[in-house]
Amino acid sequence: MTQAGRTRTPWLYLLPTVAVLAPLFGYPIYMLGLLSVFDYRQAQVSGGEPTTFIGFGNYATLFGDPRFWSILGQTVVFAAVLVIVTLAVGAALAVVLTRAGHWPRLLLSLAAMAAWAAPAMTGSTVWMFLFDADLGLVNQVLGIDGFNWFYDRWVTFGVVGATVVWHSFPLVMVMLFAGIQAIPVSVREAAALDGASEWQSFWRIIVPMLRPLITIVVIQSIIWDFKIFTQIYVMTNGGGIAGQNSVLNVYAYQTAFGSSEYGLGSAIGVVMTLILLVVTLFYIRALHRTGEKL
Amino acid sequence: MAQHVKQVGSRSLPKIKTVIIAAAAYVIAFVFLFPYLVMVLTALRPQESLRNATYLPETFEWSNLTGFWTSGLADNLLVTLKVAGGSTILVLLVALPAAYYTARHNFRFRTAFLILVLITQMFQPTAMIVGIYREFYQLGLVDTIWSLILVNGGFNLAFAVWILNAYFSSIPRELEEAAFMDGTGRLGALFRVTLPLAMPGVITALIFTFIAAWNEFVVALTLTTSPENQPLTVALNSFIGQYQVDWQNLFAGSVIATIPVIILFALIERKVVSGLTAGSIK
Repeated sequence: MTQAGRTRTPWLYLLPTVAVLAPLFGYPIYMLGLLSVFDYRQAQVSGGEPTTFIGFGNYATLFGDPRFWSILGQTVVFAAVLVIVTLAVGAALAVVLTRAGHWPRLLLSLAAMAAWAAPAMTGSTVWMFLFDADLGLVNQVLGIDGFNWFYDRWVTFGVVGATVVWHSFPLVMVMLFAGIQAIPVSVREAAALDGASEWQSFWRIIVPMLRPLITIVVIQSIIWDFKIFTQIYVMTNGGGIAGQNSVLNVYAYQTAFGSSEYGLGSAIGVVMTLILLVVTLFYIRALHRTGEKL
Repeated sequence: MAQHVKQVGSRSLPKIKTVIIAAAAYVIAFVFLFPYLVMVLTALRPQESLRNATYLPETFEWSNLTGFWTSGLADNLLVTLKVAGGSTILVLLVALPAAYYTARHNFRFRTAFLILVLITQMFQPTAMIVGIYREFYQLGLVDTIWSLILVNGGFNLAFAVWILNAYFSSIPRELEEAAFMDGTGRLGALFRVTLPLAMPGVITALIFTFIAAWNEFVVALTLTTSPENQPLTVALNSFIGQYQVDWQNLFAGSVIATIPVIILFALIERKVVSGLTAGSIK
């Protein structure tokens, strides 16, 4: 290819991608920012009242609302607990996978991947049924017929959290398993010969050697668990009793589409987006450190 | 402690350990599959036996599943198929040239381009759903499957570009050059040599996009309003009332919404994993 051709052609190949991504990310983000500085509610949508610029008014409302802070707080705590539990379960099972024989390994990874590939929607409904007060198997087995798992805020978070972990740990498990497999057998054998226990060799060998991979898994889990929507929305019927189980995503959705407070909902969306952006920057830095060729 | 045990029972221990680990693996696998088992069994239970249910249904009511096709849900399944299929085609058409070019050429904004694409993967539509709704409202595309195809395509493009880029990069340029020298032409070399070699990557990207679009919930919940335009995930949600849940129909639909993706995923499991871990293991 000639030098001139080389400088001109990139756009021919890259343009379709840009043409899809720019309007799907650029414009909505622009719109989100724009709406967030306007008083934009049902009255303005229907044309009953003029749209007025209120600067950071929506943000002031939001930051002055104790409800926002409590939802932000429980979003962070919920996500943090989910990340830790997902990693613990995923790592433990990754180790089990490396030790298991062919058939148990195959069955376990297929079962896990089935949980991962299924729609979050259907996973949520089946867990809801398992914990149903009257019909649920859990109450039958425990002999506590009629106990409502979706009444107390933290019990509800527990059940929803278990559903989320069930859906998200397989990815962590399989990524860590792939990582452990990539550690030379000789290294693991040497540790065993030196008398290292399973526990010791996990913390002293596997974890340090897989640090880059673990960083990426952690960050991906943070992103994943921070933007949980479906499980909360479906299992708690849109955020639980009086919205007690709301997380930022559900709160933004309910504010915008439930209460028709589009301006305020956008402001929450902006806050969410900024938080995700910061986490993403850490992700890119972590990828860079592992020597990913960009 | 561990050392001690190892010395004493070094002959019998590994065997017991293997059995315990295998048993644990089977039990855990069962625990993870259990919700699906419940889903299928409930879907097949006669309506009246839901209360006072025995662990296994005494009779299987296959008409619950066949009833799916006569209920409106068949239309929703069709919407899901169109959306998932449409987004997959869109992603392949758009991602293939970009991935190929960035794998084969070095140019000024190459790294910036790939990072920007990667950043879009981190964003999920939920946070910016108000903006997305507003955009499609202005375009007059709210409550159409086109809006769902575009959003699902856009939000899965990044993974496809990255995994295809990795595949194209791993195919030696010399193979293509050789075919070119043999007189196949640039495009001939691309279609007869490079693309067939990259097929595993293409299939992975294809199935991954299809599954993600199939499972999507939030965007469809927001952008579709009339029941006949809703994909299966959203339509199923309408079986969950404030006080009453129509479990049988919900699970009959859930079974049909779940099985195809699990089968598809089983086909690409390994490749997705290697794609996701690309470069992150030293």
